[in-house]
Amino acid sequence: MKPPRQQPAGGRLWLGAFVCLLLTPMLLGQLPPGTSAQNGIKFPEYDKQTQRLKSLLTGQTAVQQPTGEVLVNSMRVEIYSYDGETRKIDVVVEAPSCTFDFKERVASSPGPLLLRREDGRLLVAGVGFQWRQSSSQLYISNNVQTVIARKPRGL
Amino acid sequence: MKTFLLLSLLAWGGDRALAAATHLANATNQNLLITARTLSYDHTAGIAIYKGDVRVEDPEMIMNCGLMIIRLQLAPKPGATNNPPATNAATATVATNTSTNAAASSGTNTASLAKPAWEFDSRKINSVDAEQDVVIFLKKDKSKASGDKAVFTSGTGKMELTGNSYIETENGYLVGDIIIWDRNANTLNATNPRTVLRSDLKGRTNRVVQPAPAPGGNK
Repeated sequence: MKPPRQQPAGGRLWLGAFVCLLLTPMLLGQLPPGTSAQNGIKFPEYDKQTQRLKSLLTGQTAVQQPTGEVLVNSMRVEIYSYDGETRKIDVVVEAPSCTFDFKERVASSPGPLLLRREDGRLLVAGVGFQWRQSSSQLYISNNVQTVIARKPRGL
Repeated sequence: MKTFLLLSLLAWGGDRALAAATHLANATNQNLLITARTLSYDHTAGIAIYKGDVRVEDPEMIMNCGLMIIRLQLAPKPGATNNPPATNAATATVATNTSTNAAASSGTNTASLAKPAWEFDSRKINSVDAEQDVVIFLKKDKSKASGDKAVFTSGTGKMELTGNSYIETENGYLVGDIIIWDRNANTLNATNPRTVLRSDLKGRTNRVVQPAPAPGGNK
């Protein structure tokens, strides 16, 4: 009986390296500069102590910029709070676009931004922002308008 | 500014932006409106800091200041209930020279900024610190309070004014080192108070009440 043909070890190594090279940008949510946009990107942030999801930045499309940042269109950041083990969306931050520094985990834009509660009882609008995902800090630099609806009594 | 933001939101487009713009446009007097130049919001620490031409308007009052810090309750209390609405506690202005308790005749339903009915994110507002030329107008009776710093505490419903603190009502005005305004009980407590009563609404002063000397203190 003829023994199965074996690939040379060096060939398999090269094949593995090639596959990794292809997958790495996808895993990191990045694309090489100049390539087409990647759809449906997600950048989660976990609490280092509890390992629970603190926030999730998503975008409709993302394009790698020559500066190393990622241009994200239709940015949405969900910031979570926990009631015991139950995760709920605390507030949502939305912007038409932003640049995201993957290393620093910072999203920023000179454009408009909305921060709101899911139930609509809080709405913050402003122009120009910086979102530090690792520390869950949002800075709005101009024309901040906030509307807080009174909580119905008895709740 | 509101119009500018509405236009910006509409220019942005999208259902959510449109809904938000509609929400802003329909913001009624039942809501708390805050405008400022900048906002720093730390979700982890539960702090929101408004800076620059801060204006706060709620159903009962308007406040202007340069800096406002909102502190949120870090651990929401499940099952906590809100206090019932305060009733009008209008009384005649009586300021004694021995007491540090002067009744304010604001006659205002005192549910306001620091009431626990207000939440920022999912957490209740614990306290609000207003600094830098704080001026507060009560809508109902046009009374006015000012000071270098005002601290609202949600749990007690009290506002503490410090630094050139001054409160003026239709019956007179009160100057003190520290003025504590209990918005639920509608009373004023002041340390080292100087109260001036008016005989009419035109501002004619007919009596100045000086603080009583401290017991055992030097005159």
